[in-house]
Amino acid sequence: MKKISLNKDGTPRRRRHSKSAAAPTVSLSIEEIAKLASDQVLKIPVSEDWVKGRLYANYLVNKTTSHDFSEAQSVEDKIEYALTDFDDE
Amino acid sequence: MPLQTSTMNNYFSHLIGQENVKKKLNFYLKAYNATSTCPFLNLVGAKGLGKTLFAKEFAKNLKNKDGAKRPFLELNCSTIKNNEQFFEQIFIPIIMNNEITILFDEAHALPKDLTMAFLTIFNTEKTNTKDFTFEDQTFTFDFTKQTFIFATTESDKLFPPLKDRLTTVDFEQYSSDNLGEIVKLNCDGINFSDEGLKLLSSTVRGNARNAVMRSKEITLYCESENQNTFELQDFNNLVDLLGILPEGITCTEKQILQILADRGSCKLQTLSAVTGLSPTALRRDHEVYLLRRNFIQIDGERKITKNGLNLVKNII
Repeated sequence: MKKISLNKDGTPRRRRHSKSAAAPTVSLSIEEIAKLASDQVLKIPVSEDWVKGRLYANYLVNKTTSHDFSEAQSVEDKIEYALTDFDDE
Repeated sequence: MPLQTSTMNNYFSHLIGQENVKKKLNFYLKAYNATSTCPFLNLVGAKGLGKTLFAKEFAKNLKNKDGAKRPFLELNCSTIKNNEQFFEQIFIPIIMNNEITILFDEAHALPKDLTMAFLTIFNTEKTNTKDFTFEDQTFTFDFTKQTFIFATTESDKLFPPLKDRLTTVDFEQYSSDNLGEIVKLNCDGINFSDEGLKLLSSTVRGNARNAVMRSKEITLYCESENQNTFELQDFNNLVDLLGILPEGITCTEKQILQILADRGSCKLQTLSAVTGLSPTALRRDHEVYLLRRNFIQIDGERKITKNGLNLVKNII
């Protein structure tokens, strides 16, 4: 546990945080955002974390697709076989 | 009345050795002629003992309902990746509704999902057909039309419930006389002296495939020397030309024997360090034949036996 430093008056000294506090967020549906945005609004700022989250979600979806693709590929791998009909024996 | 050996062996009389295998396969062929069904055979034995040859010969004697010879499909299981690939490439175009014999060679390498499918398919009790549903399609296996044979060198790796559904046919090592006969049979028109043939068969490591390969070398030798006899002097010449070592041991096996002869005994790790081969490679590929022929023994450490010492002296 970290050691707590005290001020001269005995109150605990506030810690300095390296990161600034995150801006408060609200959750809105796509329809609500569309109502609020005027025709002039071309871009809506979103957090970097939200973009990263969406990119990862899309990656997972694509990963499933590529799994199917690899199965399709393996079907195309040829099974080795030899067929003998004994006609000339 | 017990069946006579001569009657029992008539389907395979032209093949050398494996008398027990011949008896079993003859029995199943006769049963097939009477019932049109055959158990799912599993041919088990080391490399080069003739599993594929016997399977092919067995298939040749299975007749279709119209009396024609049945085609024989030989599959290498290590190239089968999954059920979908098997049903698309093999079952639908070649097997379905056809009269055919199928050999699953290297059956221990079957993919897991096909092994599971086979548990269902080969779980037949009284019926001769089995419907298997895969991806909304139903495939019918008719065992009066289709005969399934499996072959493997590593039966321990075959899924036990699948093994339980198969009838095992065990192959045995060939005797020196059998190997000599195989060499003679594959060297058409060449006369052998007894001594030359005996020494030759000692260099093929009890393995029929090696005997066939050695026969090809003898044929080449006799053609290049323009002769149709093979005697002791020819054997010595061939040994010299091809660098064949006594008892057919390889250069690595010779190295192992020499190390053990020099050191008396040593640990696997030491043997690995001296030869530069991994302990697994030593155990799996190089020690087995030396152990089988009693040239070395393992008793905590690797030790050379009296036979092994004699062999080393013979080589030097």
